[in-house]
Amino acid sequence: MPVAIDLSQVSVTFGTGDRSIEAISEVTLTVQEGEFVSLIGHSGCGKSTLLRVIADIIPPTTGHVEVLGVAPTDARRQRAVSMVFQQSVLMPWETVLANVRMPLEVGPQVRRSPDAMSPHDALRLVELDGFENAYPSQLSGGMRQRVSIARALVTRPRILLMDEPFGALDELVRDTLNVEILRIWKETGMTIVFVTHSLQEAVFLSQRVAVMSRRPSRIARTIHVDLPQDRQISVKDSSALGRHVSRLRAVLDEG
Amino acid sequence: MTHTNSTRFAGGSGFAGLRERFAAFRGGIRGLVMAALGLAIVLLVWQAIVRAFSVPVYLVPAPTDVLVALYNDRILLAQNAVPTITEAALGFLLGNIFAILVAISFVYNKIVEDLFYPVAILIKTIPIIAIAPVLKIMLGNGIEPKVLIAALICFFPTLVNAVQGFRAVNPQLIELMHVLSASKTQVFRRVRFYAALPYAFAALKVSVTMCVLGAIVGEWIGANTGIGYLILQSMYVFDTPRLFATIIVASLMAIAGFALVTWVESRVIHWDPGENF
Ligand SMILES: Nc1ncnc2c1ncn2[C@@H]1O[C@H](COP(=O)(O)OP(=O)(O)OP(=O)(O)O)[C@@H](O)[C@H]1O
Ligand SMILES: [Mg+2]
Repeated sequence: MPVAIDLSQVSVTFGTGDRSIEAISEVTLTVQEGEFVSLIGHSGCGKSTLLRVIADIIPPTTGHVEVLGVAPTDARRQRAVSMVFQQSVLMPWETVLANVRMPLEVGPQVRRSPDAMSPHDALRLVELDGFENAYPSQLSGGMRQRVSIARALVTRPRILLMDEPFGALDELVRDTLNVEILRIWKETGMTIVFVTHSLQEAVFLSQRVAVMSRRPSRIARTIHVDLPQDRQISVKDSSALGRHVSRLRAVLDEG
Repeated sequence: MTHTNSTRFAGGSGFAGLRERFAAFRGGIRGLVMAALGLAIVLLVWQAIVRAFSVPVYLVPAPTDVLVALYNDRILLAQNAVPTITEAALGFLLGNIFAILVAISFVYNKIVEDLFYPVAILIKTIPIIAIAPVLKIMLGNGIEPKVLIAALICFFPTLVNAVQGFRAVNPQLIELMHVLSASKTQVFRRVRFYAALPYAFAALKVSVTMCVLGAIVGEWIGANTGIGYLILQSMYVFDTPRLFATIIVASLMAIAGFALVTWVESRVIHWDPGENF
C-alpha cells in the first residue's frame, strides 16, 4: 500500500526564547493510503497541531513531512486534503448548498477538476438531500456537522483530517455519525486521520489508534484494533471493544 | 433575530413560527402605543405649563403654537429641507464609501494601516465645528463645504467599525479557506465582506443621523438656504414657533434616515450575526 502521510521527527515550537512552547516533539508516524487512524492524548498534547502540520496550516519547526509523496503545500494545492473541525465553521450567510459548493469556487482554477463531486451528491452522501436551501441557523448541531463533512468531501480529497468532529454533539448523534463516517470511508476509500477525546469512539472507528504522550509530546504507542471490519453500532458495547479501551487507558496513564 | 430567521425557511416555520411572529408583532404594537402615550403626556404637561403661567410665545411656544407654525410654514420648511437633505445624503454617501475603501486598503495592507490609521485618529480628535470655517474658506459658499462636513462626520465611525468588522472573522474559517488555497480576494469576497456587514450597519445607523447634523453645521457657517439657515433666521427674528418647527423637521430627517438604514439592514442581513457555528 502506498503511503498517504509520512511524518518523521516532526517538532513544532510556538514562540521564541524562554516563552516558547514545544507543542510536539519529534513525532514519527506513517499512515497508509486508505487507512483509518485515530489520534488520542491528553488535552493540549498537540493533536490539533499535528493535523495542522499535515494540512499545511502551520509549518513544522524541524523534521520532514510528506503527504501523498509530495510536500504538504503541494498536496494542499492539489486539493488532496480536506479538514473538518469541532465546530462546523459554516458561513451563516450562505445556504447549505452554497456552503458545500464553496470549495469548488475558491482556489486556483486547476482545482475545478472534473473528478470533483457535485454538491448535491456530497449532501446525499451525508443524507442531507432536501436541505439545500436551508440556512445553517435552521439546522441542528448534528446536521450542521454533516454539512461541514459534505463540504470536506465535495473536492473528493484523498485524505480527510478530522479534529474532534463530533466532540460537541450528544451521544446519540455521535453514534449515528460514527456509523455514517465509517460508511463514507468505505465508499470513498479515503485516508482518515481522526482526533478524538473518546477512547470508545477511537476504537470503534479506527484500524489503528495512535496515543500521544504529554507535552512535549510524541507518539507514545500505536495500537492495532482487531475488531471485525463491518462494525455495527452494537460493537460499541462489546467486550472486545472494552478490552481495547482499557489498553488505551493504560497507555494514556503511563504518558 | 432568530425567529425572523426561522420563519424565512419554509420547512422550518410551522405553527410555532407563526405564533412567535404574531407575538413579536403584538409586542411591537404595544411598544409603539406606549411610546406615543409617553410623548402625549409630555406634550400635554408642556402645553398646560405654558398656558397656566402665560409664558410669552417668543420664549417658549406651546406645542399647539409649534403645530400651527409647522402648518403655516410648510412650504418654506419643505423648500429649505431639500438642500439640507441633498447635502446630508451626498455627505453620507461620500463619507461612507471613502471610509469603506480606506478600511479595505487597511485590511489588505498592514503597512498602509500602520501609516495612516494614527493620522485618521488624529484628524478625528479635531472638533468638526472647528474645521467648518476652514472648509468654507477653501471651498466657498456653495454646497461643497456642507457635503464635506457631513462626509467627515460619517467617515470615522464607519472606518473604525469596518476595520473591526473585516477582522471579526472566525479564525477557523480563515484556516479553512487556507486549506482550500483561497486567494486573499476570495477570502475577502466570500468571508470578510459578510463578517463586516453587521459592523458596517451599526456605523451607518450612527452616521445617518450625524450627517444631518453635519449639513446643518455647514449651513451655519454660511448659507442662504437650508434647515441650518432657517434655524438662524428664525432665531434672529425671534420666531420661536418656527424655530421649533424647523428643529422638528431636522429631527424627522434623522429619524427617516435611521429608519431607512434599519430597513435596508433587515433586508441585507438575514442571518444572526451573533452565531458562530
Ligand atoms: N498558535 C499557537 N500559539 C502558541 N501556542 C499554541 C498555538 N497553538 C497551540 N499552541 C499550544 O500548543 C499546545 C498544543 O496545542 P493543540 O491545540 O495542538 O493541543 P490539542 O492536543 O489539540 O488539545 P485539545 O485536546 O485540547 O484540543 C498547547 O499547549 C497550546 O497551548
Ligand atoms: Mg485540539
